[in-house]
Amino acid sequence: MATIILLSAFIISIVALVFFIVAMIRGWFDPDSKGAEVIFAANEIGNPEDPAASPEARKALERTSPEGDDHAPDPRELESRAAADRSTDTITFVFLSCAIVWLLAASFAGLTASIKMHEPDWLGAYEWLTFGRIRTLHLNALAYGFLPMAGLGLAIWMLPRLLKTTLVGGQFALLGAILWNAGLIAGLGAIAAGFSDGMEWLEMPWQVDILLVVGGAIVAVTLVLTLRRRNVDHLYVSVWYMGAALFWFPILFLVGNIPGVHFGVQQAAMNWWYGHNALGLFFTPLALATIYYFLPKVMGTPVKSYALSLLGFWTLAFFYGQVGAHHLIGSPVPGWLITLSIVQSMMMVIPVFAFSVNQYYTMQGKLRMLLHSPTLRFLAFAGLMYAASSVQGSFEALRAINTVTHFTHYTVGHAHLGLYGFVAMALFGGMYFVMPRVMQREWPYPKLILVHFWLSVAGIGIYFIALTFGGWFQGMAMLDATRPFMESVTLTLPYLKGRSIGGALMTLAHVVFAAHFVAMVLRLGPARDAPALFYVPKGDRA
Amino acid sequence: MDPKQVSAQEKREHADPHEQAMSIPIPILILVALMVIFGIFYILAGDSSTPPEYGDQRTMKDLMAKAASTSDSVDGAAIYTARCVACHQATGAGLPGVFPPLAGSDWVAGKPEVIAKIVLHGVQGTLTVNGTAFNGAMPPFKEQMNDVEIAAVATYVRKSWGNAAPPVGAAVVAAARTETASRTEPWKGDAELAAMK
Ligand code: HEC
Ligand code: HEM
Repeated sequence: MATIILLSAFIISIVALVFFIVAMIRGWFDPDSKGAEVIFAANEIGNPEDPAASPEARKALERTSPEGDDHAPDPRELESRAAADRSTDTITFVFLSCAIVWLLAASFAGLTASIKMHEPDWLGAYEWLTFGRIRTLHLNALAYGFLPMAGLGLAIWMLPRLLKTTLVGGQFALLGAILWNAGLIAGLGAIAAGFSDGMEWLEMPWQVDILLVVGGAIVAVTLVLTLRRRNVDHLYVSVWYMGAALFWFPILFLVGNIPGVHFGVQQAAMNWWYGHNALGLFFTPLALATIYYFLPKVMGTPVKSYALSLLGFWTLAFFYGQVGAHHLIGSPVPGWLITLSIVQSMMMVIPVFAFSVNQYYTMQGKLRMLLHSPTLRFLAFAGLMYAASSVQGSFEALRAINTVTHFTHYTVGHAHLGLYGFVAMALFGGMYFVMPRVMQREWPYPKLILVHFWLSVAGIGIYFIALTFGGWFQGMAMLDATRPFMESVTLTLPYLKGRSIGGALMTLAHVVFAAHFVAMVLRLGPARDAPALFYVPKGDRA
Repeated sequence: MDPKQVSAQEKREHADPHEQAMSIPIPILILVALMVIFGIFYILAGDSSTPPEYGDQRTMKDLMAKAASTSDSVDGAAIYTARCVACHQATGAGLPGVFPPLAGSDWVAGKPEVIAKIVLHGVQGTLTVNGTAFNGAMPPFKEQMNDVEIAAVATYVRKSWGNAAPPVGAAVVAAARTETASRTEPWKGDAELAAMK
């Protein structure tokens, strides 16, 4: 009986979803059915971006960009762009600076937690540095510090540009940021002192969560006000993702944190409904919005398929909300809930392919640009890792694989491939593009961007490979009843040491990034007049 | 700063991105269709009518199979390391004056139900082991271990460190457990145990 109900619910909802997406693509809902065509910008302006404004480097870029769109900038568009940027630069600066501080704090907390896994006595004398707390501090400082600060900072910066307007109610966003950070500091302090709600991702005491809910809602007010003042008919995909993320997050966070409502098995189900939605309906859309904006922006190619964008967005919105129970496979939760979560986890390959194919068309024939532009490199890497971590996650949800990987380091490897390889790298890329506009100054040391990129890539590579293998062997050992449990623990030691090496490289990358950021803000270092480029092709060197 | 002033960075950019109207590629449509078919099959195949309390997809049979496993698959040495070694030591020699030895002990080598009963209920008061009197307390294990596990650790003790007594079957432990089911406190040393030897 349960099967029949579940199956019919699944089929009916899929049919409805297909109908809805087709309707959106065909523009059946638009009063004047202008649909997809309105989206073309009136004028293509500007010259190839990230790669060099200095004449030589620009030449180099144009050679790699086959269309070589060399239109004369439309002064009106330039003015509106400048006006949009001036209205956001203080606020974006505040958000991104907070992001940098949290990134550093969280990286060192993560590294400490990592080292403790193979040197358990290290720093054991301080309660707040014990594994249970420092790991939690690491997670919360990233999940509620770096990621939302960077993501929202970029969203606030992109939105007025995409809506061809100026930011309305910037002071709200500022107030929201202050409340949010105050809440986060209180929350981390509480965790360090040993107070925790005891659910992963929801550890901060609920009294403190109120500050985050109010702060987040106030930031959303700014965005709603700005949206209402838009001067465009068509909302670009990035706007859908940002708007949705800002709408979903406060709801998720509020429901997840209301005390005294959820108990027992139901509480566990709610916990992972929240946990996975924070990933899928907040961090993922913010990072996708970033890629959808900056990748075509830097390349100077439009996104090829509006239909694919729609398919990707609505399937993500529909499937992601139902996958949370795949964290509870094997637990005493109703079977239909688990089965549904596994099916929808597999369905997630649809938005992932829709996104990836769309980006592939955008980059087609212009891959050489990756050699030159820092922003592009980070974003292209992030896009690849989105596909990789999502497909991995879909298969990880299948019962056959999950019995091995559940409760092992494999899961942590997957978490970092997604949150670091994809989300954090996308945000880094966006920050490299935005900061020169905010500060009206170029990055002083382009080489440091290269160092940051390669340290991060090497770090996450080592991290992921070590934990994937270590975690898999750990899972096999745990399933084998003839091997004592302790063997499954000791065999992971070399892999955990590998993780510390990878993590140390990532932490170093963040230190480099932060130092570069500070140098830029304090106007230290050479005042360069050309954008940061990795390489200027040989013939064009001065 | 003058809001009208356009910075160098802003000037050199591409236009803000937009989308073109390419339709969804056929392979993606095929992928969507395949995924929906997969979903239908997984739902049909995945259901189990067992109560959720057992854990996802687990049946009563899976749970029973675990309990009925034979002593072959339970590792007596591992249990000894986990439960006994702190007192009786890895060498089985105990600690002089505090914990009696298991190596060469006549309690260990004697009737199988004696060691079973000792491990089930523990011991308190004066106990003479190989002529030396001990006066300590050994905790009961009847709650922590099932019959198969107690049989396995007893068998291990009876064939290690020079001991060479025959193995103890789970049935012996089960019988001892039923026989002494009403017992709530440890054996009172020699006073109670000497008679059983
Ligand atoms: C907390 C320490 C402790 C633990 C753990 C412990 N024992 Fe004992 N055991 C003792 C003490 C003390 C005595 C002697 C009791 C007395 O003096 O009354 C004893 C006595 C015995 C005896 C009878 C005397 C002899 O030396 O032969 C046997 C057999 C025995 N233990 C087996 C075990 C086995 C098997 C385990 C693990 C399942 C175990 N013990 C765990 C403390 C312990
Ligand atoms: C922006 C970068 C990072 C993000 C977004 C991130 C995110 C996360 C997340 C989501 C978890 C929880 C994983 C789970 O239990 O499933 C986690 C745990 C952890 N992270 Fe990170 N992390 C980042 C960087 C780092 C760095 C640089 C290190 C240094 C080695 C690190 C080390 C750890 C450790 C040790 C854990 C605990 C794993 C466990 O409990 O077994 N992370 N991180």
